[in-house]
Amino acid sequence: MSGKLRPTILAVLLVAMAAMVIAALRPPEKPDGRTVLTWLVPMQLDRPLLEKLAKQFGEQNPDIHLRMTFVPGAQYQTKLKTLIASGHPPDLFYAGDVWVAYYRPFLLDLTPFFERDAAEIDLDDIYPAVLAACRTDGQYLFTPRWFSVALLYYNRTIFDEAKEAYPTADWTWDEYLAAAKRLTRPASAGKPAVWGSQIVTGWWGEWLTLVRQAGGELFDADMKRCTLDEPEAIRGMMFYIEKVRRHRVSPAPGRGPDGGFASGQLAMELVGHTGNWTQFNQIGLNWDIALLPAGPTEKNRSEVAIDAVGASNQTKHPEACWRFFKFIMSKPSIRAHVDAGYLSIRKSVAEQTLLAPGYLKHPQHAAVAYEALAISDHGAHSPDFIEIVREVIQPEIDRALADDRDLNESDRLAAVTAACRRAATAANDFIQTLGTERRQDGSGIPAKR
Amino acid sequence: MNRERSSIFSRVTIYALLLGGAVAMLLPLVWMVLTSFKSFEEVLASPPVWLPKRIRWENYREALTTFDFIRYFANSTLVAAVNIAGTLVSCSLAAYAFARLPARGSKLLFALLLSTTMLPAQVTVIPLFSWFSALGLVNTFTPLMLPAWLGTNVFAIFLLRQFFVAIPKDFAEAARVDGASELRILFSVYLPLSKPALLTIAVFTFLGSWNDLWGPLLYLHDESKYTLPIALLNFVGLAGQARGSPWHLVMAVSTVMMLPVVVIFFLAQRRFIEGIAASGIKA
Amino acid sequence: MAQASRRSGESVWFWILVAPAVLGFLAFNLGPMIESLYLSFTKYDVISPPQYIGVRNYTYLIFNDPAFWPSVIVTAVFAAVSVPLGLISALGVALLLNRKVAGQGVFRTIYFLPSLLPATASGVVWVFIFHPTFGLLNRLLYFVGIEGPAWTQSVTWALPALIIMSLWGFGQPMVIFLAGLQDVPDSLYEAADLDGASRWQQFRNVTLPLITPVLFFNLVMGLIGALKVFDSAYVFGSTSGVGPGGPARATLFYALNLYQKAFSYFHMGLASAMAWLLFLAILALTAFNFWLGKRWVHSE
Repeated sequence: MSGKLRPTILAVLLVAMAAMVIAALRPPEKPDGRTVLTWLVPMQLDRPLLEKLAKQFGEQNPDIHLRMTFVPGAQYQTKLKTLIASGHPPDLFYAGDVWVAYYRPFLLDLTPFFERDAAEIDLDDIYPAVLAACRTDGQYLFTPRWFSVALLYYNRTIFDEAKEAYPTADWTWDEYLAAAKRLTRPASAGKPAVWGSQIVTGWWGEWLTLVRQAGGELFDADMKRCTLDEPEAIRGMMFYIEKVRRHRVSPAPGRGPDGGFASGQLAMELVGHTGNWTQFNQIGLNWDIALLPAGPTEKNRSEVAIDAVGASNQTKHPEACWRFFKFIMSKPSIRAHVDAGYLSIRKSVAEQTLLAPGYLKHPQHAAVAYEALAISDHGAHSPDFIEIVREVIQPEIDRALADDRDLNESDRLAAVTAACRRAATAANDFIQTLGTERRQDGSGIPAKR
Repeated sequence: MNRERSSIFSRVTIYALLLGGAVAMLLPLVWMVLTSFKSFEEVLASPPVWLPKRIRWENYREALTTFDFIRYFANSTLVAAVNIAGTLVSCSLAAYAFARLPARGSKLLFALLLSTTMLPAQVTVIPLFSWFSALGLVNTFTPLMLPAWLGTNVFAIFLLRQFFVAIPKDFAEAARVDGASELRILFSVYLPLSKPALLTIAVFTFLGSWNDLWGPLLYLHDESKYTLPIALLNFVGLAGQARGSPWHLVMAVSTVMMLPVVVIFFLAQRRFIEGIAASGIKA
Repeated sequence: MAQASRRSGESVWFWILVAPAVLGFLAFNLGPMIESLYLSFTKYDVISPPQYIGVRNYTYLIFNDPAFWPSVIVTAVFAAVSVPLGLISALGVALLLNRKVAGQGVFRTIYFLPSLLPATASGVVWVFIFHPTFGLLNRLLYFVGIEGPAWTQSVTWALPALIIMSLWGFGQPMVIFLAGLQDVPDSLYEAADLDGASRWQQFRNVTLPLITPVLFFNLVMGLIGALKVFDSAYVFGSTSGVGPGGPARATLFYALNLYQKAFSYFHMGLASAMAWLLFLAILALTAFNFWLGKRWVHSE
């Protein structure tokens, strides 16, 4: 580099950097006298919807300014708790029934508001199962936006090509497994492999549902003991693992198509998430839904999870927060949610849209989602649920799933039993030492419905 | 005769090995750039498509507008610039003091400072986080920029001290006779003579700050404050993509993120490598 | 008289000029170190004040925590494999570069560059290379007829993948080796030549002993660095779709485990205990290296 060129380049770089720095230091918008509500939003697919709704809310409520901060989903819980810990909690934040036990000490009790304005929000219009999931020990702790239920997803194109009958509400695990076996085929000339069923790894959605369908449960009624090592739970876990290792209807971890069910190479998926519906339709997948196949105990044909918003119990503007909640639960807002591809929590909106024949091309049987909602169970959770499942139990399940030895059935059962025992022991150790203690008011551990 | 032939043979072997190794070293980067010019279908295609059919510059435009890239770039730059300034200032002061100002406790203090290099960040991070949190400084840039201004870069102090010690004392004598203060001597005599060291430190500090994931992960919470490393990770894991991460765009962002490092390295490499070598030899 | 006042003047200036560094030392090193030692004996989640619980954090880690020993093993295995391999590669390349080949500068740049790149960006590129379906590595293996493993999503191959990736960045030790090699006087080689020593003998008896100081430096730095690995582990874990520790904790490095416990789940006291155990391990390992080094490191 010649002597003159180098300083010039450096100078140019410095000027460019300075320009960008100045651009970055734009001052935040001034609220000028309005009530400011801070809303910490996890970055998900519904971002455009939320921004649109926030704008509408601002137009209808000019005295409130909604300041939204978007945080990537994976770091959301950390950021939220950090903000709470530093004494600057956001007024509004994502909540749901899975996280409620964790956040209970910080959530504003909305029950007085719900009771006071029940007529105004037309509380009866909201599905009872949804409302029940929003209550913890009788208290409303968050406001629902949309919900997901556990369903059986199936790819009609694959079924049609194999001339298989579609799943029905009478299916049990046996029919599901049999169909999956018939539908699995290896890659052939020009066509990629097709698997009978997806297997969801790294998240408790599928294996925990199967455990419950077999009559097992993760914790005992007091949430003080992990019961994953009991025979029913192990039976559910075996079904999960055998899909990959014995019946070979599901791909091993890392071997499946990227994008899962959306790839079009998986005939079925258990549990799933209704938030994916838009995606499936965007890529033109030919799919439908059915009730989950019944397990040995016929229980747990579905589970519900609510996507909701809660308010901080340290907010200085509870009434303003409630106005926002009323807006977000209102019929126009729920209609906007449906238009964006989410399930309606309101009967009236659902009847006009999802339940109206021909409204949605896929899934043709959208009504099944509401049948599932009606019979869904709602799992109660301890505040340490997430940590125990993710850090203590999931690694054992990963390992059991990755075990690709050619084992016969009883050896496999022994291996899975051992894994469940290790997981349960570690979970119990955790509960004894690091477990969140119950508080005087019983918060920290919600009672079963 | 024999020696010459074996020396040609050995030369060829050496070249072959070096070349092979160089190819292996560069392959990931080449692959990254190639992928950044492909379409998503070409990335996923099986059988594999090695070269893109045409160079898709629009990938860069798409990637850089999908998220607020300019802002993240600016944030990274801001933090790096402030860190460089802080390090140069506070470490020059300390290095000069250690090199030229005798005082009781100087050796002990220097040894203490050197020993902090053994202390892993994990030990200090939790109390620091809790203190910054109590001060309301979480979700600001301050925790990322303040330590540099308080001489925490011991390597910089060490390197500058080496340089200063090597400068003959009588250079400063003239200025001292004229009544110049210590600060003036530092600025007008020592610093100008230590440009290689200063450059090395500036480059090191830039790299440390530009590449830092740990600090931003802990302290920066809303996306308007993100720096590039976090932004890149979030981009990869963007929720709900039917076909998995958009690798062609991810590679484009990675390329852009690596570019300043490569450019600065090429501009300053000779000094820089001398600096590293010096740290290893004299340690 | 003038001298004495000048000396005390210098002393005052000394303390003024080092004041920022002293403040930094107290605020960012000594202070937090003491506080974190205290916290390691408490239960603390930042929201409520710390609660003293004695050594229960330490006993939980050592006897009950299912993640502690796996993270120790992952880190130890990584260190034991990647550090020697990295040093051998670095030394090998440095030896080649030391031969006064043309284009030495270019080669040196190419070998050194990867170690400077942001770990996040490099990590992402390597995760892409390791992708089970369309990653470069598995595609190349396919041409040779091997079905590559699921790398970052495989329980057995995630850590090897990370080790391979870390070897890419051996540039820093290489540069230091090169400098050390260049310090070896040519006269020694000439003398050995005259004695009829072969290349290999020259290496063993001239080169190797004289570069033991830089070898020692690289070894100690490499080991300490390996014990503190975080960035690449975090990138691998968060892009594997399984969770930060990788499948079945395959890439749950010690520093990552600590970060999770502290900042995902707010077990600050427990994490502080982990931090102190790490610190003690580093001290012990370094002390051991220094003691051992007396035997094999050549000193002037």
